[in-house]
Amino acid sequence: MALPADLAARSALSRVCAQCSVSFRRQAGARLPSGLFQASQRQQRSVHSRCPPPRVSVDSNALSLTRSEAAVGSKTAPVSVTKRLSSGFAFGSSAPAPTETEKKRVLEADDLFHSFTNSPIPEIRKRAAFMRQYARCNHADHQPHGNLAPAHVDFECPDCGIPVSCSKEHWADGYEKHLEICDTLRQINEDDHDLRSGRFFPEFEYAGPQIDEALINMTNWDTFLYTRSFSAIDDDRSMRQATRLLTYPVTIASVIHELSPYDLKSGGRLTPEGLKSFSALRYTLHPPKNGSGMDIKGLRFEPPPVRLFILGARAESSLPRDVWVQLAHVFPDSRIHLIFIGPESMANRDNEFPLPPRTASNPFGAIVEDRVWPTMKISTIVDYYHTLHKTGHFYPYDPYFDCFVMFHPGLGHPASSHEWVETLPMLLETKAPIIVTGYTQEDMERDVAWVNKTAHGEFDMLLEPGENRFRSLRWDLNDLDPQDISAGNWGVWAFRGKRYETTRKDSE
Amino acid sequence: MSGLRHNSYYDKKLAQSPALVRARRPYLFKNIFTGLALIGVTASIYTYTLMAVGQDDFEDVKVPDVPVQPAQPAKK
Repeated sequence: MALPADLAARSALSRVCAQCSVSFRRQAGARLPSGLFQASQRQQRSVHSRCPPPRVSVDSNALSLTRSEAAVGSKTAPVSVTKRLSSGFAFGSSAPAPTETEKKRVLEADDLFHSFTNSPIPEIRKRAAFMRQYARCNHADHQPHGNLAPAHVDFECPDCGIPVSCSKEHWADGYEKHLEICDTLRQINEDDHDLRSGRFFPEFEYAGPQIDEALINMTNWDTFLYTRSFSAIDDDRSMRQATRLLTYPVTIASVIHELSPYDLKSGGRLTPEGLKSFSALRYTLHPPKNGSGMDIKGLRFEPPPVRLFILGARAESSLPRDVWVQLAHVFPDSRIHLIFIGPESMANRDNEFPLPPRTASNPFGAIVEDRVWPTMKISTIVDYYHTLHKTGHFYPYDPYFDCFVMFHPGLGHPASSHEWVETLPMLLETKAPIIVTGYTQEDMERDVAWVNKTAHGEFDMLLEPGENRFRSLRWDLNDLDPQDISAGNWGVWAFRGKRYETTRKDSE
Repeated sequence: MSGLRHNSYYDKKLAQSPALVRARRPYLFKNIFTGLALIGVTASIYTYTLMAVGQDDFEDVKVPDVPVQPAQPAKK
């Protein structure tokens, strides 16, 4: 099992850096397939069936194709873009290629810093070409009131190796501002080269089930990995690569688990309303031992699974399944049903097309993976949540069993907020907790402000907005704006539709 | 079992790996404080006991002037 997991995670991570969905969406102005984690499933499956896995190293071709279309502004046709992405990928994968494990090491650990333009790795050179073609210099002279026409980036900072300005003069002019992020950009550069260095990635082998006697410590990443019996990840770079994927399940777990690091103490960020909501969930997630067993005497009624609706799913729906199974290991006593919903929830899962037909028993053509883990099931539905909500497909909603999660939804982003306008009242109506993350502090605060404005007085804050303890330690680069860096799940907060009390305490 | 599986957190000389050092960091100072407190309590009890015992000059023990001869066993 170790081999496919490693392969999948590696190919998934190689996508993470190749394309950052925030950037993509922010710049392109449309919610387009983000291209992360592509082919992870495909790789895993093809390895299982002993076929040579398709080559993943050529996909940046396809990615740049997609992105160029995005930049041109095909705002209304995300589906066609997805199709084209897949076709581009298919062209690239026609050449037989050795598996990645057979590939010999191309970069040594002390040789990871290279200029993007002159990188020894072809994909990174393509990426640099893409940036030169689409990213713009953000010097003041190119602003609308400036005296120069907009220009693409052409000059590569020698310290971080990433094209950031149109000319050396403009780079030198904005050097002080660039210096704030130069170290991080260099780290991104080295991490990207590290992913393609062909080394063995022990950090992508995840821990197995948790024994009952061992409690999980969710203080931070290190205590979590240690108490979950992960093998030691000593290197900071390996930690960054590993946490980039693990941040998705662990962020959810850290909020809803009974050993959550967020509490009612001052600075603990949980509100009394949040404790009410999450206690309801924890009641289901951590049931007492009921003596069930494999024989007739051990038969017990089982509660229905906890449903985690992941709305607006993009990259997270194509994460390697081993990563999501970590969520089942954290909650060994309850069953979990993950439901990815969103028009882009099949992004980068091209091998699973065409979608199942919409039949009476499967009215939305959901892709169901129920053999992921005995206690975990994953469904993917390519549709808007508000469409499903109106049909009552998931009705009734129960705060003891349901929770909504939105990873980087861009609620307040001008390009995507109009898509959430219809969804938000329905989410509030369910009274189930809604966990939201953001790429950066700015991104998260914009979302909070938007919810405050749109649903003022209609919601309770459950978890105060703040930095996520289980954020991705790795920073991602926005290819369309090299000055714009973000971290996956940087911040986390939660809210819920207000539950009105039947009697008012202060009315006497 | 769980302890055995953690052995990647120690190197061959049983020194802690950086990952273990990071994981223990939040508890380092609290553990040092607890350790010092425990040692302090133990040491103070020990010291107090020694002092209390050392004050005794055994005045209540009567020491005879002439050593008591052990009784001679009767000859057959």
